[in-house]
Amino acid sequence: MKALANISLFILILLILPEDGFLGNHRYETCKDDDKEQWNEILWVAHKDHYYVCKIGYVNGNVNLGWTLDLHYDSHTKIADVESSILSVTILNTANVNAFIKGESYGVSNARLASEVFTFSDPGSSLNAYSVQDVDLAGDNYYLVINFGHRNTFEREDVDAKPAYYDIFKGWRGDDTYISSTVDIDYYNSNLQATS
Amino acid sequence: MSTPSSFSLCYCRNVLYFREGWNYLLELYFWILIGALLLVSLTIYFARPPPSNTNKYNYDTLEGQMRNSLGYESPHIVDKEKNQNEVKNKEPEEKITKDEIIKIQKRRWALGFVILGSSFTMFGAFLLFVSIYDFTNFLGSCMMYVGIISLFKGVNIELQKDGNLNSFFSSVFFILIFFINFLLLTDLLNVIGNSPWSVRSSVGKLGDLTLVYLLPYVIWKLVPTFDNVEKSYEDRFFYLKIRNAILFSIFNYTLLILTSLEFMLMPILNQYLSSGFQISLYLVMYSITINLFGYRNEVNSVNDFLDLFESSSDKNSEEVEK
Repeated sequence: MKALANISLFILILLILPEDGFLGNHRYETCKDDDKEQWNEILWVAHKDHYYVCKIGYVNGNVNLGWTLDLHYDSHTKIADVESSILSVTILNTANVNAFIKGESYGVSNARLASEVFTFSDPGSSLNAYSVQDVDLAGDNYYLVINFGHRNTFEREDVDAKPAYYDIFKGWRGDDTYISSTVDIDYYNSNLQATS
Repeated sequence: MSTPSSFSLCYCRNVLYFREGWNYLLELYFWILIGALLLVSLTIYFARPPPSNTNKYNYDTLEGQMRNSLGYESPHIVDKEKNQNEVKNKEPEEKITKDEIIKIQKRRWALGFVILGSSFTMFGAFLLFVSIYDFTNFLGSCMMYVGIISLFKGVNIELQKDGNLNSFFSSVFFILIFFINFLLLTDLLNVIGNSPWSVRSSVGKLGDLTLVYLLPYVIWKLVPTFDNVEKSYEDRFFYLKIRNAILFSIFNYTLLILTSLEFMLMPILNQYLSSGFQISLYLVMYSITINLFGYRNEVNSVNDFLDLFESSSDKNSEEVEK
C-alpha cells in the first residue's frame, strides 16, 4: 500500500515537473543567451492565439539589450500567417507580465524600451532583431514576452486563459513550424571594459 | 573639448583591467572563506566517534569490571536480588552521566562558535568602519558574514543540545537561516544577483544555488552529535525523507508565488526560486525512489557498500586500541 502511494506521488510529480504543467503559474522558461549561441524553440501551434514568456532574470542598471527571432516553417504553413500572428514582442518587468497575462492594463516600464522595441505590428519595424543601447533599468526581473494574440491593446480587456498542458501537446498536430528566440544582455560598464 | 592623450587612454585601460582582476580576486577570496566554513562543518561532522566503539570507550562500566577482578566476594555467592537492585540503582546514574557529558561537549562547541562568531562580527564591523580600501571593505564584510553565520550555528547547536527542538521549530530555524544567509549574500557581500539568470554560466548558476540553498542547509543540519548510537538507514547522508522533500518543494513554490505576485518584494530571490522549485521536485522523485528501492535490507546494495567502508574503519580503530 505504501509502495502504491509512493508510485502515485511519483506520477503526480512527473505531471508537475514541466514548467507548463500543473503549478505552471509564474514558472517560465529561462531565455537563452545570444553570447552562448543558444536559442529557445517556440512551437507556433502551441502558443498561437496566446503568448510566450521567457525569463531574462534580475537586471539593475545600465544595459545593452536586444533580442532576435527566427522563423522556421514547414511546407504546410504559410510564413505570412506566422508573421501576422505575432502582434508584439516586448520586454516587461514582473508587474507588467502579471498584468499582461491577467488582461489588466499594462505597459513597458522603461521609456526607451517602449519607444524602440517592436510593438503591435508597427509598419516601420522589422520582426527579426532589435537591440537598444544603454538602457537604464530599475532593479527587477525582466521577461521577453511574445504576444501571439493574447492581447490586442495595452488597456484592460477580457482574455482567454492559456490552458494548462498547452505545451505538452505540442507537435501532435504535425505542424513543425517554430520560432527560435535569443536575448542579448550586457551591462553597459562591462561592455566599456571589454572595448576600451 | 580636449581629446584624451594616448597616455591617459592607456592608463584607463590598465586601470580597467586591474579592476576586473581585482573583482576576480575578491570573488576568489570569498570562495576560500566559504570553503573554510564548509571544512569546519565537515570536520565537526566527521569528528564524531564511530558507533561500534561505544562499549570500549564507556568508562562508566569500567568500575564494575575492576571490582569483579579485585573484589573480596566470590562471584557465586553474590545475591541475585542484590545484583538486580544495584543494576536498577546504577542505570539512571549512568544515563545521566552520559547525557551530561554529551551536553557539556555540545555546549563547548556552541560556545566556540559563539565566541568565534562574535569576534569575527566585531572585527569585521570595525574594519568596515575604519577602512577606505575596497579589499579591506570586502574583507570586513566577509568576516561579518562568517561571524553572523557562526553565531547562528552556535545557537543551533545550543538549541539542539537538549533535544527539545521539535520539527516545527527546527523548520522555522532553517527558514530564518535561509533568509539571513540570503540577505547577507545580497546586501552585505553583493556576491549574488549581479547578472541576469539567463546570461549566467552553468558553473555560476550552480555556485549561486549552492550559496542560496546548500549553505544554509549545511549550517542548519550539520551539528556535532556525541550520542554514539548506531546509525540507522535513515541517518545515512544519501537518505532523504519524502516528507522533507515535499516540505522543501512547498517552501520553494510558496516563496515563488509570493515573490512573483510581489507580496514579497524580493526580485533577486525570485530569480533563484524557479530553479530551486525544479530541483526540489527532482529531490521528491529521488526520495521516492530511495524509499521504494533502497529501504529493504535484502535489496539495499548501497547500504552494504557503505558498510564495507565503516567496518574497515572500525577495524582500524580496534587495531589502534590494541
